[in-house]
Amino acid sequence: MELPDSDISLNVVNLSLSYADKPALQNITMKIPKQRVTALIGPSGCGKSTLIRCFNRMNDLIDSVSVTGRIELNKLDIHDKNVDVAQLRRQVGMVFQRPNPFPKSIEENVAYGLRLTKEVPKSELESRVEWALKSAALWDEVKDRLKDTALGLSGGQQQRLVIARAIAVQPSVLLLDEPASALDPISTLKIEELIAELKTQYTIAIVTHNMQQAARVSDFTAFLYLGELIEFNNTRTIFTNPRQEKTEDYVSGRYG
Amino acid sequence: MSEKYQLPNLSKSRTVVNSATRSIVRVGGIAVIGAIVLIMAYLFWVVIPMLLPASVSLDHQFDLSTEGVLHVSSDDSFEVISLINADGSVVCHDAEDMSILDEIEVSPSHFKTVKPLYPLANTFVALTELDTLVFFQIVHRVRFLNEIRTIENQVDVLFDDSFIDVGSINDFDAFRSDEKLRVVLLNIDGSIDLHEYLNVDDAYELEEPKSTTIDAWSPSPRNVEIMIGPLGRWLFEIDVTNGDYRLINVASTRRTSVEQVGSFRLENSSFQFAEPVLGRYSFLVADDQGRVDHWILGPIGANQGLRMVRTFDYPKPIKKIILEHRRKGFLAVDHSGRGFIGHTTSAAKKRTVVSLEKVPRLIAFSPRADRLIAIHDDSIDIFRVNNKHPETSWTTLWGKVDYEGYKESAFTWQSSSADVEFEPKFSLMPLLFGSIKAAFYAMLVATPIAILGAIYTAMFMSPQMRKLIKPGIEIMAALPTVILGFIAGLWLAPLIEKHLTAIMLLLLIPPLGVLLFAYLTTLLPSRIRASLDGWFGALTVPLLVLLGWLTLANNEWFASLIFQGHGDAKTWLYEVLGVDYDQRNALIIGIAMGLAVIPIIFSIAEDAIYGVPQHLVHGSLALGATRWQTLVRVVLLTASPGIFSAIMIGMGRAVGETMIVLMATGNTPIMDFNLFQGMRTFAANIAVEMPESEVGSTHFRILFLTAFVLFLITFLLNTVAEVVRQRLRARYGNL
Ligand SMILES: Nc1ncnc2c1ncn2[C@@H]1O[C@H](COP(=O)(O)OP(=O)(O)OP(=O)(O)O)[C@@H](O)[C@H]1O
Ligand SMILES: [Mg+2]
Repeated sequence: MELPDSDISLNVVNLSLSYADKPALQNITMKIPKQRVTALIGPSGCGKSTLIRCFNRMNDLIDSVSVTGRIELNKLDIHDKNVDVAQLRRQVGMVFQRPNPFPKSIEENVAYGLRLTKEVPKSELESRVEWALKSAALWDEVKDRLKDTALGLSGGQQQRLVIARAIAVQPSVLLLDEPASALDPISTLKIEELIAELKTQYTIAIVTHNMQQAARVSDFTAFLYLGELIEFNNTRTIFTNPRQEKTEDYVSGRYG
Repeated sequence: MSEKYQLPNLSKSRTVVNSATRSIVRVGGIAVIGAIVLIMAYLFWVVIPMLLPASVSLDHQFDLSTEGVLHVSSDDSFEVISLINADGSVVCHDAEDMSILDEIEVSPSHFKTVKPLYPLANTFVALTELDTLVFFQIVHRVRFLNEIRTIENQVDVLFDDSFIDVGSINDFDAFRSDEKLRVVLLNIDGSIDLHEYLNVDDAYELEEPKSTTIDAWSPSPRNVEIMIGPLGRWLFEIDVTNGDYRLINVASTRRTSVEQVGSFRLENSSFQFAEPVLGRYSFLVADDQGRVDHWILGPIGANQGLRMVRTFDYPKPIKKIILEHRRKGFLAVDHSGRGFIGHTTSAAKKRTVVSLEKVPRLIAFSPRADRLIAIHDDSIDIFRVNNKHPETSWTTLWGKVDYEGYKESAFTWQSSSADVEFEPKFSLMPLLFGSIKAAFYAMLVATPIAILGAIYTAMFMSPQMRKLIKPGIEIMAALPTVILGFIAGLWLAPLIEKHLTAIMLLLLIPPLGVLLFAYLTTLLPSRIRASLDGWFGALTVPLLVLLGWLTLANNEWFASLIFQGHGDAKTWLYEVLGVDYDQRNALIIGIAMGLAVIPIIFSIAEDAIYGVPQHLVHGSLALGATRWQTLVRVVLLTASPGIFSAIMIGMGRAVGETMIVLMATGNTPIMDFNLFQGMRTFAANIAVEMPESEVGSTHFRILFLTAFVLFLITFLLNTVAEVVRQRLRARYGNL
């Protein structure tokens, strides 16, 4: 799988990570293409969340983490000491495995990232919030209660809210850690449609345990196992004709 | 298929444990509430008697001819009633049945007038028909003869049975202090002779007096009454026909001067009489329409003078006013014989009425004001008076009051004095003010330090360091406040007074130093910086100590630099700002009490901040917020209910804190918000005065009232805190 450099959004080279002295990722090398959806699959505890947390350096927040190797975002080393981490995270947005709305109103939650800088003028805030909520397929459900606290939303609504919050700042890469794990089939479908729509503008990395979902939404799939990248290829190849036995076992549900 | 599921029954032992736990918890909860209610109820129970009105009831009525009685008095325990008669005798009666106990001849010649020898109790001066003044004291001695209690009544004629020849006069008055006797005589021509006898001893004859004469004032000297005023330094001359008066300063016999000439007269009514209140700092002035005005002696401009401060209105004209012997209370009798119990200071107090049937010829309070002796021509009526707490009213507790000797109405707390004629001043405002002031300055110091400390500890400190710091600060809460107060009062206060300039600069220099240090650390190579991350707080400690020490050590240099020509900060404050520097002031309290409150606020606030879920912090950071933005917009917001409670609980503590304020302020009940002045708080006041207050006295009950108020304040603070906290939690609380 060779791609021209200009089509690569994130370039991961020889990335290893350990918590204290416990290795969690080992020598990962992969290229995540622009404006495509890349799915990360693998059994629980294999390091999927850890890997995507590397992309916006959220792992910096965890004491005792040590990272070696390189990650380039649009050819810039994100570990470079001149990189403003806050700025990096605005470009690489993230939705966490568990929904984490702030104890603020729905509107304020979505506007949160926008208010952090002056990039978006105040007058446009409202329309941007509406756009984000519509994009996250939440608008119709909350348009009459924008001032209510976000904690009053259901789990699935909260999940879509944090997606809206992440896309409101219009990052170039969007990292989704099991965004549909708490959702009913209809909401899941909405999210999948949303992903399909978003990929025209964003690079998306999605962690999922749902093979069908990975097959439906992603263009590329990476299979991780015990901290190692076993296989990374077109989704179709992974699901129909995997090169590695472990991959085949996993996608066919033989373990995990 | 149709298998039936059965819910297992709750096992017996679990039922027992469940209900036992429930009842234990319930008992505990009810006990706490009960204890609080009990405390409240007890405080209120002690306070209640102050709210009750006085009551008067007829006790005995003796039919007895009282012809020739000039004066009536009784002993302290109201066992003996002494009547001073015109024939020069004193007759002592048993107060129970009016039987005669003793008949004592004081003087062979008849008495024309008898007056109390101001300001002594049971001591009198009588003008005899031979125009001499006789001084005598009625003494009731309790003796135990064969274990039977008897009272021995005796009259001592003072000054070795001598008398003063006064010639023919219109009026007289006398004043006695330890070694001095002053006699004033109003001559027929209106001039006043003032005689001062020195080295006076009851058992010896009087020496030759020093005398002066004061020129006549009234054109009709027959109508003038004279009266010696407070401490024998003042002389009142009152024209009883029209209420004109003259106040003469007689502090020095060599140089007397007229202090004020005025009139008690009112525009629409006519003056009847003026009666001096205990201590003679004030007069009750009655007109012919039922109005009684209270005039007090106090500064008027550069002089002293009388001014009217309050009015008592009665339905009918007042004919007689008599005074209590130990308080500023009085009884006003109107022309139909109705008596009204009153008190000058607490004018608004509920009025108690007693029917005396007609205006008595003579009437007097017993020394403890628990009896009234009314003398009619053919009977003596004795009333029982229950009037324990006349001194207070809502106005005296919370409002501005015109006190004797004051220039204007004021909020004053001055509960006691060695002087019996003292007017107690029970305004709670200075104490409330003091409590608020102390709490304010303490919170001013404690809140920022504790909250910032909590933020730093919870958010930025390395976990190992946090493990040391948090319990360290919490242990500070266990520090006995006596020790804090002791150190603050005896070590800190003089230190700050001496290094005032440097102390003020401490607000400036160390913070700047820390900022500079923070900047310098950014220049360190990143590897070193990363290894120090979370420990910078510890590194600043020696820096702060060093900077603090340097600032203090160079106090003089700074002072000469900043306050050129004024010496030091203290004199500068005084000369430029007119601020008097108290050594034990609000600054000391701010620091010492702040120190006591910091651990409480810190601990609760830190828990609240630390308890903010990490996923919110991460959520914010993942959206590109900086640490600072995350702190302000998410962490503090989410922790706000806890931080708010922390502040309120700290405030409750500061308001109620006793030992520190007690030891580190001068406990002066002043109302000045100045940082460099002291204060007296409710709590400190209770601690200072409770041991010396007489159980059951008004003072005692007012101290309980202050405790009650203090309780209410803390109760209120906590309630407000809880309500606000609930609201905040409903709004920002996490799930
Ligand atoms: N903060 C942490 N500190 C220490 N170890 C961690 C931490 N986070 C994850 N790990 C460990 O790293 C490994 C990878 O965890 P990670 O959360 O990336 O798994 P995952 O693939 O996302 O699993 P899941 O599908 O269950 O979410 C696991 O063994 C986990 O125990
Ligand atoms: Mg995960």
